[in-house]
Amino acid sequence: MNHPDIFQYYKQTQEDSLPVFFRGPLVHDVLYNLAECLLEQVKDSEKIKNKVLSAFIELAQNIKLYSAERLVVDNEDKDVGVGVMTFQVTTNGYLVCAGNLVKNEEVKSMNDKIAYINSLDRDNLNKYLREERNRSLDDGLDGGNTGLIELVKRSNNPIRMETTIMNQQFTFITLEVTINKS
Amino acid sequence: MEKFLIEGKDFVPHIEFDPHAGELSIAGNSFHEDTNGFYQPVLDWLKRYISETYQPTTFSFRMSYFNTTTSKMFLQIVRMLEEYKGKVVINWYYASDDDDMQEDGENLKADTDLEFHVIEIEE
Repeated sequence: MNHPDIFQYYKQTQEDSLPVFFRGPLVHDVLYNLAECLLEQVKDSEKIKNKVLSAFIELAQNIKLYSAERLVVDNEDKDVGVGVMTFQVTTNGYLVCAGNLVKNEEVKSMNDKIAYINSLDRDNLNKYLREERNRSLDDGLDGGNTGLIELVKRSNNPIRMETTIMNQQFTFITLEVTINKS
Repeated sequence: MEKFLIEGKDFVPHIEFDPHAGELSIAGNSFHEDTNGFYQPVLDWLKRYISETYQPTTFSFRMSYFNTTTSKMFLQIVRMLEEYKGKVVINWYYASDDDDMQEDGENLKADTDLEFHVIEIEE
């Protein structure tokens, strides 16, 4: 009988020191339970815990809303984005990673947006956040449209983005951010 | 008008609007899965309050954590309060070591001409 090599997954996540690893649809219950689970690993101040929580929630909600791979799930009124989330405690900080598929034509604008956000100083991050929040309210957008800005603001670190072209339609995109220990 | 109350738990904030005292407050965590849907009754209540009364009102935010969709709802609340005919004061509380929460308050304050205090709470 063919079956997935679960041990291989286990070994790989063990080798990568990943106490939290998830692949699937980011429904809210999963997201909430994962968040609780990873906060257990954060032996730090409330301030740092909130920064880790914020990074995790914003990256997970990013997948839920924008992943090109989608699944219809019971108890959710819309289809839900599928992706991968990992969390890792490193020597200097807490590393939150998110990966999901995006359409190839969306990669450049995403890359440009992240490069722009990473280039802003604190005052301009706040200014950009307020502009985007007002715009998303005026335009009636679903999300706050400011998740990536919050990531950089709260972590005080740039977002790192990596891409792997899967085929003519889709690219796998990885976003990661580190929250420094206090 | 009836009092409006949502008991806070986990990712849902504690919301208590007392129309007789003019005291409206939101506290705790807010990252509900359907943030827009969750806040709709809150906005509906506020809309009715604004159209029915003129008494001095204090709106307090005492948040621990909220997601970016919630922050858009807070901006919506502030915009609605700008339409209020009576006097309104907004108080944004933050724990003394929480500079993110302080900055969130300053950012919301920068978007309105209403009387808006960003207040440090000693731990």
